[in-house]
Amino acid sequence: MASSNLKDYLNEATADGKKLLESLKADIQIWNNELVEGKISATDLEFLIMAKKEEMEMEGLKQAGVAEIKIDQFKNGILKLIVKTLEGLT
Amino acid sequence: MKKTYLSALFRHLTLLVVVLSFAACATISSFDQYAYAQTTSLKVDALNTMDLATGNYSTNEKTIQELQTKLQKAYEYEKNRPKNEITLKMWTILLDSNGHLLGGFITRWEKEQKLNAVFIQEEKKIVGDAFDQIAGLESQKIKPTDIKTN
Repeated sequence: MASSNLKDYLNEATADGKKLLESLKADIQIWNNELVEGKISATDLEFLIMAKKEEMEMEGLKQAGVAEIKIDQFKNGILKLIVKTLEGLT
Repeated sequence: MKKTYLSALFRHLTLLVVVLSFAACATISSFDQYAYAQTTSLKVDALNTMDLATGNYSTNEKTIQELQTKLQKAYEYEKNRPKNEITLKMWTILLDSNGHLLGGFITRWEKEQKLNAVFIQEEKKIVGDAFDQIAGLESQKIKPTDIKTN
């Protein structure tokens, strides 16, 4: 149960990380074109890159939170198992 | 006979202690419907307010202040939830007035009075995703009903 939960979590976290990196690559390309076309300024571009960096920090925090949730789910699973075992003894 | 009974009793008590220890130490706060609804509702308010940034900051000051009050209330709510450090850190980054997400956007708007429409649309995508991350984490938290053993 624990190894399957951990595997699922790692797969999800890796997929989310890859998705975010791909979106960063695509966004930088779009912003660069907008800068060249004069649609945004260099200050706008710098602000957007910094915003994306902060969004990635938030993604890291979210993944840390999801890991804690998985730990709690695992603990709950064990708790239920123990209670069932106790009920079987009485 | 007496020894067997005592041994069984000891086993049960040990299990009970383990059960209570597990129950007492959740790592992260459980799901909170109010916090989730508040996050998704504030996302809509924030993105709608950001759309106004093509206009003067001073003209829209009342709307901006209303949004900031709602954001402060949400932050205070999150701050007082137990074991909620990660969500609170996420809100702190989102609202940081020296940063580059919602808080930083409002600071820049105030400083420059008007912002570029294309920039606003790009920034809205990032701020929208940031709200989604907070809501996404909340929605994955264990529901209080799931903590029950049956």
